[in-house]
Amino acid sequence: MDKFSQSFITEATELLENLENDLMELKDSPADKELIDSVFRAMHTIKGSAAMFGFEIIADFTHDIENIFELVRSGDLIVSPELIDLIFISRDQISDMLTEATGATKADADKGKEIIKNLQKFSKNKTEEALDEYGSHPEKMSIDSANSNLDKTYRIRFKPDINIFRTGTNPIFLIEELELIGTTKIICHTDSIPDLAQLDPESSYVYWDIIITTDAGVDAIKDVFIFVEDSCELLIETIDEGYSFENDSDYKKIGEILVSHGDITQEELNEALSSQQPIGQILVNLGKINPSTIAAAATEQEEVRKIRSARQQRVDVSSIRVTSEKLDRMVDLVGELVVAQARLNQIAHENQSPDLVAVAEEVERLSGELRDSTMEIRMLPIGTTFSKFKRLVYDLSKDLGKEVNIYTEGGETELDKNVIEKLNDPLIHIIRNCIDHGIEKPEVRKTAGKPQQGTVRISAIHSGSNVFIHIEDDGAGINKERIRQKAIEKGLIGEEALLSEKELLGLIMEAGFSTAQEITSVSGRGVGMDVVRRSIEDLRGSIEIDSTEGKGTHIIIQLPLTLAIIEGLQVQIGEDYFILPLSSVEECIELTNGDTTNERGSNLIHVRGEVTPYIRLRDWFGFSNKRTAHEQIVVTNMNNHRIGFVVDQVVGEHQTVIKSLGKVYENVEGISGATIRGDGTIALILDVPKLIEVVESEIKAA
Amino acid sequence: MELKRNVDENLCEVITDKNMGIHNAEEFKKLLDDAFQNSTKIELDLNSLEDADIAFLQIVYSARKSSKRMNKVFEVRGDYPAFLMKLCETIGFPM
Repeated sequence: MDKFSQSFITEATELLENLENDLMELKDSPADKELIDSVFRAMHTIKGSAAMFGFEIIADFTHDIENIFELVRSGDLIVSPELIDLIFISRDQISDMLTEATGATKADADKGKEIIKNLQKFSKNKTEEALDEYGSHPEKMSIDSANSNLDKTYRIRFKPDINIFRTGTNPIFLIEELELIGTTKIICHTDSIPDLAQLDPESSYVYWDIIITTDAGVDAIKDVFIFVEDSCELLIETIDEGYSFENDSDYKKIGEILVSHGDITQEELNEALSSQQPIGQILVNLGKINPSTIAAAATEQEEVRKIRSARQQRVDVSSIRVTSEKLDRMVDLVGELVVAQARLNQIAHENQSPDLVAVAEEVERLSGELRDSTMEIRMLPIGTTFSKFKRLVYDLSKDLGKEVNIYTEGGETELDKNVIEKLNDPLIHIIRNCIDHGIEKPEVRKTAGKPQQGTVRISAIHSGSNVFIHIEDDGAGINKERIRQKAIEKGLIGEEALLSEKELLGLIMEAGFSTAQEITSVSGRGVGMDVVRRSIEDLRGSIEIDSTEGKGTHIIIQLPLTLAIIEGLQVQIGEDYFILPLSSVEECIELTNGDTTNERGSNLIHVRGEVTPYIRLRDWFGFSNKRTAHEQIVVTNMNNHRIGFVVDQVVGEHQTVIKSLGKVYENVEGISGATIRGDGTIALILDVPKLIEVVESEIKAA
Repeated sequence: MELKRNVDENLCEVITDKNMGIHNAEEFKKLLDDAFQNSTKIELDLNSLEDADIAFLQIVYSARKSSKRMNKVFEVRGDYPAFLMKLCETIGFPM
């Protein structure tokens, strides 16, 4: 496939993702003109691009949907749940067609024909209904669809004739009409209104400068003034074309605007500029213009700069398209640079050369900035993932006969793109569970005194080097006694086991655990939450469940911002070094024999009055050399599970560039990767969740 | 529309009709002229006002401008009606 076709498919796929989001919102706000325009524009763009790149079938198919939305835009068709369903199905069909275009699975052509037939039938029926009800719409303004996505900004100077009131014309109506076709900023010039003694009460002394941003075109503006064109001075000038290839958001200076309005001459401007005061003040002092004329120019300047700045930001955000492989490669290189810089630092300090130390420090600063900037490039707002869930909830609730509203918050929270990608499946599973097991059927909710519509709320909050994702539902909650019984049945706990509420709820995430009364296609096969937990832990995150029976369930996921570089704690055992993720470390203390006990084969230590299991990493990794006289213990905490790691020495914090160990070592328990130290040697990164799991299972076995 | 002379020492009150516009602009201006000639303080009562146009706004603006030049006090009694504030905002008219 050529790169242009590839580019079309990528762009169209993005448009379809946005379209899905728009449709979900349109479902709740069916009269929202912006959303209707947005759906229309998405179809219009896909159709145009598809035709341009030779994807005629996609272009034809999209054309019919575009037509439907043209009817919606013009008010001939009303957005209804049936229409939304049809557009959703159409959107999925286009998605299948795009997949087919990449050479993968073929789209179902018969389904496509059926969809078009249904759309045409729907539009015919609804249009007839609408016409029967309202008749024709002669007053409707026709908007040029070719310009529909291009907002231009105009300056209108509207100076009514002094006798305009006597003709029965009310300029207020004209201004109100302008506001219907675009966004306006209106400045009324009142400086010509005389004192009472000179005032003719039936004469008009005011005039207006209006800045309007609209996609309706200049003719639509002229139409507003069509009946007063002979009794006013009307000047319409385009001051922003709606696109700009200039690389700044600047606009004319006040003096230039006044000259372009004809309010002052270039000579008067030059004369004023020779003084050191602000230009507006000088011109007012010189009696060349009134304060309101300056205000009008300043408003124009501010408005156009604002429009251009907003556009510039949009262009900045959307103008670069880089494949993720290139980004990954860049992060790898930055990782290498950080490692090389650490080595340079070490050599510089060993050689004690001030010049070399200075250069090394400069390189350290630059590589740090480069690392942060590169990591930032990979950060994506989690909102892109959230928007997919709206569709998921919509489809699932329909399938299960439930009524569910989904609310999302914090979509702008950014996470590394790799984290976001890997987070998708676990989140889908959790949301499926919320709807399948959590939210009750409408009649059940009604009986329980709850609103018929259940609520699922997903939010993301950034805190330090972590992001917290909360998934809350107001469903039935979890029956803890049933969890307990099930856990006993499955042999996960003994009958006498004393578990805290959190530990009890944590059992849901044990392998093979499921309490669903019936197995549905959605969830309940018992292969879910343990996989979810493992996936989250693979992302170096943690998951916690809180639930109140009858009220709902709250799941909290904690994730690191990035997977490529972490803050680590470097520890030493013999001649070897290890890294523990700093986020899991609670404290480091000296190990004294008096604090430790060994009960039934398990090593335990009393840390601030709390019994904490620990493992000696020297024994775990089979080091044969002798223990040091003074060992230290690093206490970690994951999901409220505390465990200590005994090491020879805690070295200190370490910027850890994570390197994969490759396939040969992928099954080594307790190690999740490696990093290169400043002297070129390797430090292994400990897989803390896995080690906690192993230690806890050993304790249970004991 | 009504002009109340000497309500208080040198105070004149001008009370508007429900609708103020081009149809009664002449009359309104005359009342204000009268008030400006006979008082040092003029109060405009807009309590009855329900509709107005630009002709009315121009006269009020002109009266305020004149009061400064003539060193007289011209005030609106109480708050401006909400519809008038909205109208001024819509057409960018400074009040």
